[in-house]
Formats: sequence, structure tokens, C-alpha cells
Amino acid sequence: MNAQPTTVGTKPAARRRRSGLFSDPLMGYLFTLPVIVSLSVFLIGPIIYAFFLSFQSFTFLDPEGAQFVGLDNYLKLFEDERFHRALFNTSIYSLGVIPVQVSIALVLALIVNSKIKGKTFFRVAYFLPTVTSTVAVSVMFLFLFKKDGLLNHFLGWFGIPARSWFDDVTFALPSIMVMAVWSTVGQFMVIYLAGLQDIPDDLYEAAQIDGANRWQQFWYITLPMLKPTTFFIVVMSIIGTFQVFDQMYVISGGDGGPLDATLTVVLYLYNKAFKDFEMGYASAIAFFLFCVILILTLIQRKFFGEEMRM
Amino acid sequence: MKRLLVRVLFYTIVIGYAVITVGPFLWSLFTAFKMTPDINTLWVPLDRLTLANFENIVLSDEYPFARWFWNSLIVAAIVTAGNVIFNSMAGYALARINFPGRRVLFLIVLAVMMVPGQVILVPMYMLLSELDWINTYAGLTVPFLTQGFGIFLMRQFFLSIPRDLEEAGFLDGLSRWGVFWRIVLPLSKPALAAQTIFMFMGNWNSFMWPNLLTTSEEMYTLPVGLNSLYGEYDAFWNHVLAGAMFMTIPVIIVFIIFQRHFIKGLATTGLK
Amino acid sequence: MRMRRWMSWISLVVAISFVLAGCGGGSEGASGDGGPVTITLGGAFSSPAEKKIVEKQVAAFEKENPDIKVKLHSITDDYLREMQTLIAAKDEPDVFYLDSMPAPQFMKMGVLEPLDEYIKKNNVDLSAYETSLVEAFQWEGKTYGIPKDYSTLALFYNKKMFEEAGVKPPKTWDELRNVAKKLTKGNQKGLALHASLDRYQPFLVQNGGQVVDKQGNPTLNHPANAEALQFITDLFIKDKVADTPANLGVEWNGDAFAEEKVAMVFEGAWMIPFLKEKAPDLEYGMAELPVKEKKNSNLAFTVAYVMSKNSEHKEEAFKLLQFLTSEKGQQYVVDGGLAMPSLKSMGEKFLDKYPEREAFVKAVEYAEPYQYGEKGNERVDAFNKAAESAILKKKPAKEALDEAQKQLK
Repeated sequence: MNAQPTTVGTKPAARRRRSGLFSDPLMGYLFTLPVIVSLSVFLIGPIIYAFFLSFQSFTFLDPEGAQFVGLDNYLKLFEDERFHRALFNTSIYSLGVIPVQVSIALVLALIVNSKIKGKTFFRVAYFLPTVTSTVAVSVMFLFLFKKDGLLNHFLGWFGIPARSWFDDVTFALPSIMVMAVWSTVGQFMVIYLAGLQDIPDDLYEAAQIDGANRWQQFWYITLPMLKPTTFFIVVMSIIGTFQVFDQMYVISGGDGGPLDATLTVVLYLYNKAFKDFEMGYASAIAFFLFCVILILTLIQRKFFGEEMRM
Repeated sequence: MKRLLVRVLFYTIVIGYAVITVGPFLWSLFTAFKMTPDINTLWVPLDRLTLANFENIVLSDEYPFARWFWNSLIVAAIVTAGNVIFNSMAGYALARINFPGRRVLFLIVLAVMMVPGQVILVPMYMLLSELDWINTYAGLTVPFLTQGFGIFLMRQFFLSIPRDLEEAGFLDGLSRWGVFWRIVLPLSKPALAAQTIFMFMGNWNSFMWPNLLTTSEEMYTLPVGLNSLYGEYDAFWNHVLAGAMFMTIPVIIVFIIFQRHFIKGLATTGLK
Repeated sequence: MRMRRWMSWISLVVAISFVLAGCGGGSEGASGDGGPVTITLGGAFSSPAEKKIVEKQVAAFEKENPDIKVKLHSITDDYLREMQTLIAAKDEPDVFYLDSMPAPQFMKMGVLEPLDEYIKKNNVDLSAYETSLVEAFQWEGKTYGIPKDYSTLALFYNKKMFEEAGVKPPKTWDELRNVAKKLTKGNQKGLALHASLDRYQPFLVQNGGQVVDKQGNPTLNHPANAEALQFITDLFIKDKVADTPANLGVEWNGDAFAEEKVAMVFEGAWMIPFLKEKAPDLEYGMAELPVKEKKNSNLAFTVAYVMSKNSEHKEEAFKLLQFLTSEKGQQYVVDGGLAMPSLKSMGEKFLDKYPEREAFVKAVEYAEPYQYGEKGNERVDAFNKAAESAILKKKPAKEALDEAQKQLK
């Protein structure tokens, strides 16, 4: 059989030029006007301001005393060992979390989109971790993962010695990664679920007539049709994981301990800005991080191909 | 036989994961009913459980609880409505309308998400203070009426909608505006439902901004109010968790209502 | 179409909400000419009980000064961050809390109004306050804040465990080690202690060490520091009579003590209300920290009231500041029974009321404020990391401190 995924997947791109995407500047600006205004005033303005700060020795306590220091803040990034540690931790975190997160989300979405009994219950159940606020989730996990907590009781049955997961130099970061996957999968599941609902049923019907089995349907119809969704999820995941802050802030009590094992870039930035009063340096860290995320996103776009043209 | 085995395996995974997600939640609920000296005891007999932690939140006469709830509701409703409308419009334009600057605009929408919010906290506050919007509903809502995440989400969905129906709409003499409201949006119910859930959830639980932007008790939202109630003794997990559980329930309700639209979204449009 | 009805509902909600928003917000600053002046008082209230104390103080102040209204601005999240934000927008309260640790930065940056002139004019006697507390808020000869209260560290001990082991509260380092040994059995440890300068500093200083020298340079790897840190580390590693709260599976020392996992902790007066709530039946005592030989040392955690340089009503603001730190104002601190009042005379009253807390008040005479200069936070971080690696990674104390010192350069 020859269930070419391209029938629907790429056709719009070809047709787009013919009819759909005709130029309509007035409508284009009208539709985007609220967003343009809101973005410029409330985000781009402050971002530009912060960008200027990154070239200064600056603290909000004494804005008049700011000094222009050129690229010093950026150069300092190369020597700052704690920053390197933070960048390393963040990368590990991101590399570990994204693939697991995305695959589990897809599997769960497929499950709750199938014809199982108690669909609504499972949807709510899988989504529960996402609705709970980060602080509450962190508290819950501190609870479950502590030395005499539920997890260690459970592991004890298999002869695994109890340890204090979040305070262990080796296990603190992986434990937070587990927590992050647990708490964000529901969100991406819902997006995948909406994506799955958008796939017209006649595609599957046509494939069935062609004799495609379930697996082939998944591989040649579902996955290609979910491409925009997957692209979206991966990009959001990169942004989210590289900016991870809340969990570390709560669990390590703000210092990224034990021994910097949970120090992330944004946590470091935050401490520099608000505890050490080095807003200029903190801004430089922010824009460095921005560049890292931007580059990863662009690579991502290449990976997903023309489909995601911008 | 093999089929049965597959089924068993399938349901083991389905139920197993549900245990993993619901378990900690139930555990927290259980803890929220514990008395303070029992917090760290693993198992507490049911007759030692208490409603006091919840009563402490709801019935406390010192704290204007109803007011906080109302504030949260208003703020979350406005922000959610604004996001659903504006993000959809922008997402549609970015996916479907060709206009100069479209690609740049999309890149900017993406790029602003990549700047860590912590770095613009202070400039944002300074701006809102200039506008005299601190401690007002305007300050709590207007800056948050659109969001990159939502715009991006909608754009991706519009990209995957077949265009045939839109074209039919144009042939019927509808304007671009008419096509968007009458054809595209009704087709996008699953995405709109997803967006509503996220925006409501995000705003309902949002703490950092409302906390910064409110200065008096009568303007607090629920998370800010609850936080002021706990103070420093955050080791009293039973209180914290009671608050968290209490806050979570409205979001679950919103989720249950809107997740139905994922299914209905297709069923009612006649796309089939 | 149904969709449209739905959308029009949303529009209606938006419209109504904006009308509401218009009414609800922006009803501020109704202080026209002649009317009462409004002063904002900013603080981070660590418990409802603390907030109540301040509310009572404010009520008493307003009664005495009918022409001044005080508005409380309670800051519940990260205090330092919010304060910097407010200051950047020039929205900071007229009078606010300031902790000793970040005080040097605030004083140096010119955010605060020097109080000397007002102090003189209103005849405030600074020598009536505990000296070590006042010094924490002085910078280059000027005074920027008046301390409101404080806590030092004391040895909390579990009476039952001490009786069972037949020991008395340790007075010296040697006794501490011996007593801890006797109190360690089964799952029970002698001492819970987290790896942090805010507990170790008294031991460093008792041994003749220092964290910052007179010129303000960090001296983390001072030989006496290393020796003291090694002594503490040995309690963990060699003698195995002490453990960190994390290893004991609890949040902080207080939990370990309340749950009777340990017999001793070094903590502040904040333990008292905590234990009352968390372990109401626990019998415990408080004693002064053990001493190496003769040199006493302790840490004073203190918060002062300071005045914003941007305040538009400085005279009134100082009136409030003065009231809050006066005998009359501090009576509420005494009655509240949380932290110790900063006025010496009120400290005596406090002791009459709570004689069991003698250890805290005695210690303030020889305590140093918890403060390490402008770069205080960085120094504490560096030290804590050294302490952590000494305890968790069994690194020799000297090596760990050398590394920390190097990092500060």
C-alpha cells in the first residue's frame, strides 16, 4: 500500500500561492493590531530597557550611579565559573526533560483520544498535575521525596536504601527533572489532544480502505498531521526548560544547592539581580540565554523543515 | 490471546499513569486534612483528620476572602477573554494573511518569549507605576491581554486547518473578517478550548505579577491573599496544601467544561 | 451561529469587567490640603501574630496623632526584590523594614534618608538601644535606621532526652561533643545543624576567627575559621553525632527538634511560637551557646525601621519611626512575645515576662549583627558552599575554605 502522507501534509503549501494566502495588508494589520500595541508597550519596551542595562554597571537602588561598561558584563560570562555551572545544569535539565516530556504527552493524548472507557476520568487525571500551582507541586514532591517519605518507603520494598533526594548532590537535579516531567506533561497532552481532534476522520477512513493498519495510520497520518503541533510543543519546551526557575527556587530555597547542583541560569540571574544588586550583569545573562534559546529554536525550525516557515 | 495480552498491558499503562498523577494529588489532599503535629506522620487515622485548615482559609474573618475570590474571577475572566480573542486574531493573520512584516512579527512574538521574565519585572513595574495602574484592575489585566504562547498556539492550529472551507466562504461573498468569525473560529473549537483552559489556569494561579502589582488587601487575588495568610511559617504544609487544593478546584471545573469542546469541536461543525 | 452568541457573551463580560475595573481601582491618595497626611509603612510580616503587633502599634500611633494616617503595605513575596522594584519606581513606603544583611548596600546607594538630624531634633537616645544592633545600620558615620527587634541564637535542648542520658546542657565545645555522643543512639542524633554561616559564625569567632576583616575584605580561610569548621565537621563525619536537617529527612532544624529526631539545635526565638504550634507537648529548655574557652560570641538577627529618601512627609514619617521604636511602641513587642525588643530597658521588661528566654537577651551583649558588608550575600554563599562540601563531600575544612576564598576574588 502506499499511504503517502504528503496528500494533505504538503498540499496547502503548493496551493497557498494560488489562492489562500493572498496579500491583504490592511486586514493583516487589523487582525494583529491589538497584539502589536500590547507587545510593544508591555514587552518590547521593557526588554529594550533591560538590554541597555546589560551594558552598564547598574542597580535599581541607585540608577543615577550607573556606569557604561561596554561589553564587560558579557565578557565576565566567560570567566564566571558559577555561571558555567548554571548553564551546564540547565542544559542537562533541558536535554533530559524535553524528549521524555514530549513522548509521554503524545502517548497520553493518543490514549485519551481513543475509545477507552472512562475517557473523561483519565483526561482529568492526567491533567491534574498541570492545574496545580508550581509551588504546591514542589511542596508535594518535597514531601514525597524526603528521607522518610512515601517514595523511599516504596523503594525500600526493593531494597533500595532511603536517601534525601532533593538534598543529594547527585540526585537533586534528576529528581527535579522527574517532577518537571510529571507536572508539565498534562499541558502538552491537551495541546496534542486538540491537534488530534483537528485531523479529519476521512483521512483515516481513506487509509483504512487502502488497507493500512493502526501502526501505519499513526506513522503516515497522525504524526505528519501533528507536525505543526509537535513543532510548537518542542519550541515551548525549549523555552520553558531553559528558563526553569520556580521549581529550583522553591526546592533549593533560592540558592541552587546542594553545592550548586540545582543552580540554573535564571535562578543565578535572579540572585545576581536581586540579592547581589548587579542588575547589569543579570541582564547580560538574560540576553545570553535569549541567544541560546533563539539559536536552538532556529535549529529546530530547520529540523522540522519548510513546513514551519515563518 | 495476544490481543488480550495487549489489552491488559494497555490498561496497565493507562491506569498506572493515572495512579502516578492522581496519587500525589490525593496525598496532598490527605495532608491538607491533617493536624499540624501530624504533618510528617505518614499515616494518620481518619478520626484525627480535621477540616480546620480549610476553615482557616474560608471562614477567617480577618481576611476578605470573598473579595479575593471575586478579584481572581474578574481578572482571570478578562485576561482569558482578551487572550482568546486577540491571540486568535493574530494567530490567524500570521497563519493565513499575507502582509508586509508578517514574518518579522512572528519572529518577534517568538523572541519575546525567550527573554526571561525576571529581567523585565522592574521596568514593567516602573511603566505601570507611570500609568498609575498599580493596585487597579487595569494594571492586573491590560498588560496581560495577549501572550506569545497563545498566539503561537493558535497560529499552529490554523496552519493545520484545511483551507477548502475558507475558500468556500469567500465564494459565498464573505469578507476576510466574516470568514474568520463564521468559518474559521467555529472550526477551531478544540484549539480555542485548549487556549481557554491554559489562559484561565495560568492567570488563576498567577502569583508573581498580582503580588507585585497589588498593594492593598482589597485588591489581592486568591494566590496573593493566601500567601499573605501563610506568612513565613511555610513549614506548615497542611495549611499551604489546603490553600493549594482549594485554589485548584475552580481550574478543574473549567477544565472539565472546556475539555468537552475538544470532542464537540469536530462533531458540531459538519466537517465530517 | 452558536459560535457568535458565545463570542458576544465574552465581549459582554469584557465590557462589564472594564466598567467594574474603572470603579474598583484608582481610588487612592485622597489627601488634599489640610486633611490628614498618609504615611505608608512597609514590612514583611513573618506571621499573622507579627502583623497583629504592628497593627496594634499603628492604631496606638494614629490615636496619638490624629492628623497622620498610616497605611500598611505588607510584602509577602521576596522582600528584597519587591523593595528594589518599588524603589526603582519611586513607589516605596515612607517607612519600611530593612534587614541587617542587605543594609550596607541600601545605605551606600543613597536610598535611605540619614536620620541623624531627626534623632537630634527629637531627642532620641541611641545608646538606649543594644549597641550591636544600632551599629548594623550605621554607614560612614551616619545612622540610617533604628532597630525594631532582634533575635540571637540559643541552644535548644530536649529535656526528656537529656534526663534519660543523664547529661546537662553543654557549656564548652568539649562538653558539646561529649553530650552529643551520649545523646546519639539508634535513629536519634545529638544535634541538628545545617551547613550555613548563620549558625557557624559564633563558633568561628569564639575560636578567634572572622569572616570579614576591619578593612571590609573577606577572610573566609582565616586559620581559626578552618579550625572551627573542622571541629563542626568532625561532629558530623568522625563522631557521627550531628546531622543536617536534609539528611534527617526534614525541612529545617526546627522540624528535627520538634519531631524529636535530635536532642539539640542552635536556633533563634522564632522557634518558640513554632514549637508551640508544631509540638505543643514537647518539654525543652534554652541555654546560651557553648563556648570554646572564654570568648563568647553570638549572632544578632535584626531588622530596623528606615526612612525612604523620597518620602514626601519626612517629619511625620520620623514621628512614626520614633513611635514604633519607643518604649511605648515596643511594649507591644514585649506583649507579643515573638522577638526581643531592641531597647535595653524593654529587654528587661521582656525578661520579667519571659524569664526562660534569658539566653537570648544575655547573648545580645556580645553578639555581632548578621552582616558582612556590601557583598554580604556572595560571601555567605561562598562560605555555605565550603561548609557543604566539608560535610557532604568530606573535604578538609581548610581546603574548602581556601577554595571559597579564591572564588570571591
